[in-house]
Amino acid sequence: MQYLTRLATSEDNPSDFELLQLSARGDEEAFTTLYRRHQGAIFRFALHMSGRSDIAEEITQEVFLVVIRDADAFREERGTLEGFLIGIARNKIRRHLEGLRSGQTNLEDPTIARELSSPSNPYMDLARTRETDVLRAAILSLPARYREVTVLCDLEERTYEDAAMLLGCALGTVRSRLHRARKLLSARLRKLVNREGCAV
Amino acid sequence: MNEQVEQFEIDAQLRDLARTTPQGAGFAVEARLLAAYRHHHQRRRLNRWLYLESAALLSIAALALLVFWRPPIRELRPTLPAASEAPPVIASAPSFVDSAVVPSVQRQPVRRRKKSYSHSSTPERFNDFDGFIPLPYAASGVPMGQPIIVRMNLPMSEFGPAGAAVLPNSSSQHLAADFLIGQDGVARAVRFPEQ
Repeated sequence: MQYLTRLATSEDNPSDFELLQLSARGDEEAFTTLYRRHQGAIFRFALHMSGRSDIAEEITQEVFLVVIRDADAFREERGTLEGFLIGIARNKIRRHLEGLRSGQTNLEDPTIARELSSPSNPYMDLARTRETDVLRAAILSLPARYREVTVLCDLEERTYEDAAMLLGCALGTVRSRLHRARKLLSARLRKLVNREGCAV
Repeated sequence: MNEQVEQFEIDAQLRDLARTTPQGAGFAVEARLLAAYRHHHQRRRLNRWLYLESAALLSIAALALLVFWRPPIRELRPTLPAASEAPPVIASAPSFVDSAVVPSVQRQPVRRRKKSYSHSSTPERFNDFDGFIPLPYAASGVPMGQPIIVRMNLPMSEFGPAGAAVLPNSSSQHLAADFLIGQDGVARAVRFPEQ
């Protein structure tokens, strides 16, 4: 109600910061708007980084729980809210990947893509072709820093400047990482195709 | 050339992958988050309410204390020490004073009680201060503490300001008087010995 009043009186499109402030004061509609505005980007980033929709949903939920419990942690002068949320998601994904590594899950194994194509996994349900499976496995096999730029620039189609801002690094770093990521991706695809005996 | 073709194919597949990726988390996530949001803010509201209630109670208590509390009023009237108060000590009189005396001192019979560990630092106690007349300017408000009695030989004219009627022809005569002097050095009372 508070949010609706604000919308009617001042702005039609409140900024992220305004929504965050309203949300922190207990305005549920402001929180819902904020969630719907950013959950897609967070979810897709987590999905491409982890390769599993259940993990991506869990990470999305954890990111927005931070928004609920600790909205004051965001400082407008330090960057955008999306960058802040992606930053939280990156940390959580990194922790998750470390857990996977210690649990001896081999992301380089192309069969993981097929395992993930179970009917309960909507991400893999949509990826019907074998080539896409192999490509996804190749992306998942990239080191995290290269996977991040591939996801943001190639899959999310963000500009280099956006990616640099979201990842908190220099523009040149994004360019060089992306170049290196494509080389690695090409090499791994070749390797996977040779192993699987299918053409990309 | 092959590399370029390969890269082109990879780009096309990346676009396909992006297109086929689900666009967002399921509704269950949103529902869970909204439940968490409501729970969090209900708890915050409750905490805020409890905080306000405590603050209001504390304010009321402080106000009641301010309204009803009275500081203890100190007795300003000069009072001669009662027998139960600390006994006066015998002081050595200054050179202009005849002598320091302890008039009508009586030794109190010592009552020994079993298992009584209290003791007095002075063995002698005055039983009363009979005959002392309070001086009119002695109302200083300072407690008497441990008074001393000094005997002085003063001209009669000195007793006029103290309220005594002095005959004109006897003002040069000297008179012995005992002064009860408080711990602050102020004479509180006077007594004239019988001689």
